[in-house]
Amino acid sequence: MTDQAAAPLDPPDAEDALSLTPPDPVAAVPTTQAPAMAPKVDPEMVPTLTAKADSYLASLLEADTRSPEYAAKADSVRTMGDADIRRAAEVSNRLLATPVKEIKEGGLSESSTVGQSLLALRRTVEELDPSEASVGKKLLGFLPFGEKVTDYFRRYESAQKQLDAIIRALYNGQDELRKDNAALNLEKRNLWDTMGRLNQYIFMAERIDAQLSARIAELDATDPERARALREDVLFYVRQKHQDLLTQLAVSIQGYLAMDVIIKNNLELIKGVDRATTTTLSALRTAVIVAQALANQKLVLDQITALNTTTSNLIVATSKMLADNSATIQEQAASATIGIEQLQSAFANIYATLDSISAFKIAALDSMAQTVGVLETETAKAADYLERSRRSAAAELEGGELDVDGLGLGRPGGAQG
Amino acid sequence: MSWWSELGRRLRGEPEPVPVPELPPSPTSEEILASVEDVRRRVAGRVPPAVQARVERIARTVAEMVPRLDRPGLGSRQAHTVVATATSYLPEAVDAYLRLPRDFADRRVVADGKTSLMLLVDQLDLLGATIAKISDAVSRQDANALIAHGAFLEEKFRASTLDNPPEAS
Repeated sequence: MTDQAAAPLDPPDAEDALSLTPPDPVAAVPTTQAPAMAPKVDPEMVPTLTAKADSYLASLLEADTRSPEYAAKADSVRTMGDADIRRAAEVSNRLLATPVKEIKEGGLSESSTVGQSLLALRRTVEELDPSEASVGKKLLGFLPFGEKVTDYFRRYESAQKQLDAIIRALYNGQDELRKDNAALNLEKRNLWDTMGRLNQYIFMAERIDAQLSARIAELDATDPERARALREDVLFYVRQKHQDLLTQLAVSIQGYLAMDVIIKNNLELIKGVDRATTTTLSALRTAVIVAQALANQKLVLDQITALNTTTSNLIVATSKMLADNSATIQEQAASATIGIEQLQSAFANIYATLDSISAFKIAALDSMAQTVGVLETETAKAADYLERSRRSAAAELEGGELDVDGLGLGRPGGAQG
Repeated sequence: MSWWSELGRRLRGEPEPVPVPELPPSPTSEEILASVEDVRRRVAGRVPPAVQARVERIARTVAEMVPRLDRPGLGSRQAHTVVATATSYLPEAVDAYLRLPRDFADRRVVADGKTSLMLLVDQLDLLGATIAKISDAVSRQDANALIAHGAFLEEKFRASTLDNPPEAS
């Protein structure tokens, strides 16, 4: 007990410099890697999917190659999963628009609420900058507390309305970023489900491909005519579909990762805005104290600084006491403890924050532009498929035999990112 | 910028400063109250009583808070939360619900086993609890001033226990 009681207190964590890191741009996802990256096929689903593929193959192999049943079976492969592929394509097209929009009007752009407010903050802070030029060099020397100081601190009173509007706009900007992220997370969850379904079709296509290839190899010896028909009417389309599914899956993964980039950027910006408001408010509080100590001037920044009346009253009271006691103490108070240097360093904090946000924005925009580039290329690749799927639009209404609808597709967990 | 510093800038050959971007002005008390009143009008007769009651409760707390918004300081997050509740959080939640066909909103499960109606009720509860907490904190601050004043009066006018009772004259 005594040891514990005697343990020295830890100093508070030093306020570390704000560091905002933009996420890396999204790289192209090779189609071969797509199934491994996408949500896995649920092991419970495997028997169902296998059975579906096998029963399809069984009925296909029974049908006469000239019969209408055979034609219908061949069609089933062509339309397999079309609805899901189309849905995934819609999402990835919308996604392609998202980062582009993000670059133009998102939090990173100058025209956004956050961009405008930060710009306004920088201008306003520059007006209040307690540099020697604006406060006067003599301040700490022999001609203290002149009119110039009083004038300087009066600027705060006229700027407080503007500062209040800026801080409010920054809070609103943060709200917008958070809303964007909530919407993106929802979109991510939907896309996760779609990717899971695409992966199930890929599983079935692979199964059909393997079984059918083996069967065709056997038929080559016994019934070459039938083998040729199966190869041309079915196997070709199975492989084409497999490729389409892989491409679309790769594009979807790309979109999924791109959404992550935007979400992370927004989180970093929210952090930056947080720091911008706290450093500004703390500089204003410092100004109140310094004004009191240097010029015995009570700054009425109640709109901004009444964050905690008790504390700020206490601070003002203390500095007033110091100021009132005697000229010596006043000088000491002004020069040693709460002087213009403190105010200058408070302003340096704001500048450092604003600078690191600007640097972050530039890096993040760059990363986003690369992501858009990759997305565009990949989406263009998937366009071939969409062309094909449009030709078989009938499936949209009927739903193919091989559709996995109604198979009790659960929503896999872990969609949060 | 005064003409004097403007002249100084030109003499020094510094570039024209970029103007401060115009930010939307903060909503006035009237606008805040009007926004809540709008929501109340929009829901009247169009929502189940559970929603109506919650909207009313939030509206009451906001109306109570508006004259006291300067207390936590306008740059404060709490004040922002109250203003944003009135002008954005509450209207957006309610409008998103009102946009849905009534039958769909009240019966169809849309997320986590909940209907849109249940989701709205959850959101309104969260908003209501949050601003009630803020209102409470502000009242407590005001009450502290009263307590401090009481202590001051007590200190100043309390008679010492060693005082002799005033002589009867």
